[in-house]
Amino acid sequence: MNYHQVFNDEVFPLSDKLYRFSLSIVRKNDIAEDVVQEILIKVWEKREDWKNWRNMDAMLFTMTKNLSLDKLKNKNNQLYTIPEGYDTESDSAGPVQRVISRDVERIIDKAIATLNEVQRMVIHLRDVEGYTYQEIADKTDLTMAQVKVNLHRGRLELRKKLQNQL
Amino acid sequence: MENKDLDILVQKYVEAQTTPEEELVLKSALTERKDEYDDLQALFGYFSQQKSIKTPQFVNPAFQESTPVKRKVISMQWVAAAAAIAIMVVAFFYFNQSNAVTSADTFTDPQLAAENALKALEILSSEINRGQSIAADQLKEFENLNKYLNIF
Amino acid sequence: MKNFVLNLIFMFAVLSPAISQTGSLDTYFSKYQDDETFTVVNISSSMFAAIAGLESDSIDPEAKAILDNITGMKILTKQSNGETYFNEVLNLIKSKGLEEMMSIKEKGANMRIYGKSDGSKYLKEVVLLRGDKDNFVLMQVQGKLSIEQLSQLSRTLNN
Repeated sequence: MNYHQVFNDEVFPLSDKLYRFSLSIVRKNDIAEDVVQEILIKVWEKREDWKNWRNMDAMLFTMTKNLSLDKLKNKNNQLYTIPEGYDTESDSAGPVQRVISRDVERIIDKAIATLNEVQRMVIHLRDVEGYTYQEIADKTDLTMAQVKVNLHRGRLELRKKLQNQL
Repeated sequence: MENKDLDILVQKYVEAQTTPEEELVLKSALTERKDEYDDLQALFGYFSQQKSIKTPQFVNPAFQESTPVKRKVISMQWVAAAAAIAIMVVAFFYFNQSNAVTSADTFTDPQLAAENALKALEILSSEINRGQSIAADQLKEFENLNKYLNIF
Repeated sequence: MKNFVLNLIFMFAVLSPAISQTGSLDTYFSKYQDDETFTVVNISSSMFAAIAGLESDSIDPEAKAILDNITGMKILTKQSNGETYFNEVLNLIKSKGLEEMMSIKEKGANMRIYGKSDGSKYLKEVVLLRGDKDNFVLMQVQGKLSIEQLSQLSRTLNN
């Protein structure tokens, strides 16, 4: 197997998606960046194992999920945390084109912050990245049923919170 | 789309029963109605913005080496023969007193090289001192703490 | 055949100290040597031999003593992205048999010093690694080095 080719074609290009995925869990730019950088290194170091991996994509996301949850746990010593929101405006990466105003974005950020990690991550994978339920299940190491339940609960909660404020 | 159908679709969406195609239909249906389901409108706007978040530059741990290393199984006879040849080549170079240089010297003038080498060593030296003084401070604090505790 | 090879290997073992003087991080240095965003300094063993032959009036004797025991020096610096390269080297260094001798971690700035013993109380290689947001420094010094002598140097040169 040409390790360099596989890494450069299949792993490294996923960095951005993995970063956004980690960010949905940890909600801090620098932690998400550390997570992805560590995962890239870890995956490269495990290249002898690659032939045993059924699904490289899913493995990358699952590893990212686990490391992100670990860092979250270590940082706060609580399993489910309610962080304030993303980093300050000067740090956060603004989108190229604005569809909603900064204020509305902040309100939604806060609402999402009140969801638990699993709900946040499936909503991210479905509503932001557009993966199918099966793909989400593979990437998060959950069953399809669990994915749907979390998606349902998360969306319900979000609507409740937003209907009050918008 | 009829209002009734839209309501059903929204319900389906919240229950996570929609297909990706249905979700697309929902999004476009909502953009046509400015005043309904404000929360979902905002949410979908938010999601589309999240997709284009700026991401940092990552370091690629797989160094771009010009040719990937291939592993071959070589028999011991060949290893011995290759070793013997390699040794003879090395001995040849040794007796010819030529040094294998991997990269070019930055300086051509030894005086200049010496000055720059010393500058670098000075930096190295001050870093060592910094490390040693921090360690010494920590040791002192530790000793002070011990003295304090021993009073009791 | 076996005797022949063994004899040659013995000869090789005797000759090799005179020839192979590769530093642990040489490949890392060559990776960035043509990259213009980096400052690269390389002083080879032949240059240090020439330095040893210089008139000793121009250089402080203690400094000269250290220089006489150096066989190679490589320096790599960059004025940005220090943390990225710091981490890159950190990961590489794990497999190089260098022992961590000192480590300082302050707000945003990291420094490590590594050494490799030559079997006696001297080090045959010392590596300095520094990284913060605006600065990256990697220095590899080879020769017959001692930390005490090196730490003395800055006091000597600044008096």
